[in-house]
Amino acid sequence: MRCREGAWRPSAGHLAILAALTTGCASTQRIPGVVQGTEGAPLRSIPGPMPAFGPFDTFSDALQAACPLILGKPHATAGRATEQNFQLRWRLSREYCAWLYYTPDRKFEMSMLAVGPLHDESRKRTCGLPSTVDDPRYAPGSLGYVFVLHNHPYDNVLSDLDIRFIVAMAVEHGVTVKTQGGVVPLSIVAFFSLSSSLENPPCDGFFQYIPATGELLRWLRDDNDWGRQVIGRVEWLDDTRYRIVRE
Amino acid sequence: MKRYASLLLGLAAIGCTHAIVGAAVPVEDDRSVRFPEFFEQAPLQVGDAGQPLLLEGAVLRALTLAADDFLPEGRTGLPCTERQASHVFRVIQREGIIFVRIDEDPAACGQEHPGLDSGARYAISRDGRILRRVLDGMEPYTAPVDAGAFEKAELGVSPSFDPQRPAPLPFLGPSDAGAPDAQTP
Repeated sequence: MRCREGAWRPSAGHLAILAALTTGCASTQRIPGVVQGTEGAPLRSIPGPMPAFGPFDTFSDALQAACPLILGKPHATAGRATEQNFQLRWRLSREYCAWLYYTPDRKFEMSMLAVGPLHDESRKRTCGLPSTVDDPRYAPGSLGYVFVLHNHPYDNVLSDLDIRFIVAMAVEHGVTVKTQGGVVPLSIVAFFSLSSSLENPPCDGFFQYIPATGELLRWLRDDNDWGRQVIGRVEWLDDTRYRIVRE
Repeated sequence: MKRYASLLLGLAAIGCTHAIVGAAVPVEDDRSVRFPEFFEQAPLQVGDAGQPLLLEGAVLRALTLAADDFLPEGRTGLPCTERQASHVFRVIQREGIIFVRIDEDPAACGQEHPGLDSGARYAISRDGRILRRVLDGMEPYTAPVDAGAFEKAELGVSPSFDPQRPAPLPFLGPSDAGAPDAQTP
């Protein structure tokens, strides 16, 4: 990324952070639980399940476990936008994404994580998630697709492409999944941390869009309790046009 | 054509505009600038029908500024998804501001869907200043003054979803509403 916003002179503190961050960079070559396609051969499906993650009886338990796992991956967060080193951390940040899915064994599992490419000069912090999970324990087509999971570097709302992607997945897989515990609507989630911690940033909340209801939700954690707030709705006019109504 | 309600341009147009703006320009962060809805109206598109599309120079300059800022060319070994020619551009002009939305064209890179958070929005003045830039996944949440209260809830559960009465997307047929995707025991 080019620094166009003026000359930046690193302080000793900046250099210490830079050293810590770049040291972390070296370990991103092979990240446990992460698979990555290549430029000429993008992933056609994402393997599952994530080792040592599930299975879970409820999607709520699976979500609660998935959030810190994803935010704990290298450079998944960028700290507070108001902090001095935010731009530096953002340059090194990466986006991870995965499916949370329902199996014929009546359990919720998470796929391995896909990760966006590491291009220091790119402005994009993106993640390409295949539309299907390849879990060799089950027949193709027997899985239920429940949540698209990914991280945002801070307390950032879902983007247009997040919304369009999950709707494309609703067209492909259906807007709901029938599970033992009831019918569950497909949705997309973007986890975030409000902490500036470099290692193991806590899961502080997430944004969620549910195509079956049109709701845009914001979730925040308060100790062990979770609270939700409807922050808007997506109104689809046809299969390509929509408007976002903020509440 | 003084106003463009919404304009979708192929990169064939952008590829010809590089010489207009050569140097980098500063990016302002004017939070008072509000972006329009880019996907509410069907865009006009440069196609093969032969009908000419008129672009003002100020619009062309805004497109070039946004494209060069978000997807700088000239870098070595650019992957397909980093090239300007692998993107589509939407333009809306409103109240003297030219708004540009850039998205991946997945077909250009042999993909089915664009990556999550792979786009960006720009607000550019007619005299060529980038007033605001919002990258996907980087738009901070701003709570409205009259934001509703948080309510405790089971994680990930919708406040209104009724499995007996799913409110599906209007363009999906009845068979897509509430249909199980998995083999339910």
